[in-house]
Amino acid sequence: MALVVLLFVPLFVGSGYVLHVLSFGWIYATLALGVVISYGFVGIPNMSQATLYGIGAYVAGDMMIHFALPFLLAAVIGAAAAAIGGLILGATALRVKGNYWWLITIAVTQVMFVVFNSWTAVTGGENGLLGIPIARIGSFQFISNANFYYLGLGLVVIVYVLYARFTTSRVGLAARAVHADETAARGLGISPGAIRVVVMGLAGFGAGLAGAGIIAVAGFVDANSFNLDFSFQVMLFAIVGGLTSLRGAIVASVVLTYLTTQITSLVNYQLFIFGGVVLLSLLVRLYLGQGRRGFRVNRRAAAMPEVVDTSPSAPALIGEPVPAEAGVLVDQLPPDLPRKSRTRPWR
Amino acid sequence: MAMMDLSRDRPATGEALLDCRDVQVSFDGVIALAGIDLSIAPGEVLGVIGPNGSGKTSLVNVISGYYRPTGGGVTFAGQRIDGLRPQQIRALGIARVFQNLRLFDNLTVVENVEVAMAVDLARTRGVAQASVGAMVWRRQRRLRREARLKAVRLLEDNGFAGHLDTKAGSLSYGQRKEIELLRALADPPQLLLLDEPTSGVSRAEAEQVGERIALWRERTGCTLLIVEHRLGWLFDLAERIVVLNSGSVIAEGLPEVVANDPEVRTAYVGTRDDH
Repeated sequence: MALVVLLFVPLFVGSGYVLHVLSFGWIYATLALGVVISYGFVGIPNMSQATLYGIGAYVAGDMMIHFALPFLLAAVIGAAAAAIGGLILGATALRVKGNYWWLITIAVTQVMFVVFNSWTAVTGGENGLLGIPIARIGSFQFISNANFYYLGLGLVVIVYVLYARFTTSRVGLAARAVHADETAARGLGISPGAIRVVVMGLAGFGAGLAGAGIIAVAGFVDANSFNLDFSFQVMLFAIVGGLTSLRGAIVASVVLTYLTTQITSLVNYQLFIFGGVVLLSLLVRLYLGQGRRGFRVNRRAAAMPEVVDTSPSAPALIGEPVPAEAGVLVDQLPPDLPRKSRTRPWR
Repeated sequence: MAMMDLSRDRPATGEALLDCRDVQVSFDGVIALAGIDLSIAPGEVLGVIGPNGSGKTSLVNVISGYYRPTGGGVTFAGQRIDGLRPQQIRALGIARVFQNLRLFDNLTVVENVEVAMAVDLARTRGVAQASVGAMVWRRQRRLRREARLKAVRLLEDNGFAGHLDTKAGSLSYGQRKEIELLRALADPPQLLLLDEPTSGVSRAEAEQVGERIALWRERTGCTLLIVEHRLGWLFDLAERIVVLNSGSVIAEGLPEVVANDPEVRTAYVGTRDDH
């Protein structure tokens, strides 16, 4: 249903600029999905999404520039390369536990940034990857902003479907078990290491596809597109989206990407605003439950007749007399039931 | 419970399901196991007792792969298993229930049992095949459905029909203990290691646990190794008792014989929990 609505967006949004921004939003959402499966499901704080994304972009770009491969084939090769990168990262960090994953993935991203910035033959170095041909599938060329929008949407849908199937599979369940208690999971015949490696490979695959998407949409990439700041941003998108919710990550990525472009005049305050968003989302999580889903559940609860505590100590809502029925409802409750004593005026 | 032929003190190596030979474990010079010889015949119920710190849990940890022995070897069904990882040992057919509760509290009751049927995920290859398969083919989805159905049936048969989709963390201690036992049996093991199955439960509940274990054993025919502090309880259930002290076997034999062994009494003076 949501997908149908999204398919018609370009027909109603006249502004090419907005569509362009949204196509970036879809691509960033694809990356955030990788954080959801690696951090949200298995507990690997994955700060290397930018690197895996970069591998996908450079490999796909080079395939198109130097070997004149068609876009789809280049994208698949780029995604495969990034998947291999993810597998290698997962395998080298097998002995790493808990918070050390942060260090490892941050270090890898920093090192790879330098590599991207200096390996001129492959990445174009500081000048970036120049001369990327227009992406085309068959005789169809991706040139308009609406084309880019659909390309980004297509990528995120593909990766979403793959990851959703993964997270609901037996391995997805095993991954949650590993996240909860690794020792117990081993005792049930589940290899935590194998699951981590495979999940990093999957995160790499999605990130590689996103990398191929960005070279089609932007037509240009340089190392600054793949730095630690960007990893941090993607991590943020996933956290704001609820961390274990694939759909939440998509919504958060697109909304935040759009908002960011609306505040480009305040570019110096970007981090400040991101910090504010994180604080806000934490407050939402704390007070309304788990991410977006918790928000929905709480709204449903709010729609039901709420028990209002009419005792004098409860702060009265300004100018609103407490309905008489609500008071009766309280009186009818058996005394041992917990009563809502806090009102939340901001809701 | 049907008594087996107990005339032999220790089965010969050829017919043992599990065979520990001179198993040693030490941590930075502190000796936990000082050369244990022990074997379990197929279908046997072996009880392991000993004072605190005698090495009972260390022994379980070695057999289940959580400790790597510093000396000696362990053979299971004719295959050396010392040095294998816990998940590989589980995949071979040795299940283990921990002394402390180790359910996945944030998973539902069904999921907790379902996840125990995934022993093909012990190796990278199995994980990779199942992951890619889940995304591309339908077979993996069918396998998940089947595992879920099996888990539901197992739980319903054991009185958890009303709790299938409850988070495991919200159940009572006794219920969680039971689910943990069910989880270990979900993919029927050949050998089940129980580390103090009655710890933390009342005497009446311990009787129930004992009955359940006996029932399960009759149903699945699986071999049992039970570490336990409640001696009376264990002597009713086990067919043979091994007594550990300071990392060594100090006595072995029929429950009633071991109970009257002077050396065992000495080791237990002051610590014996007389049921």
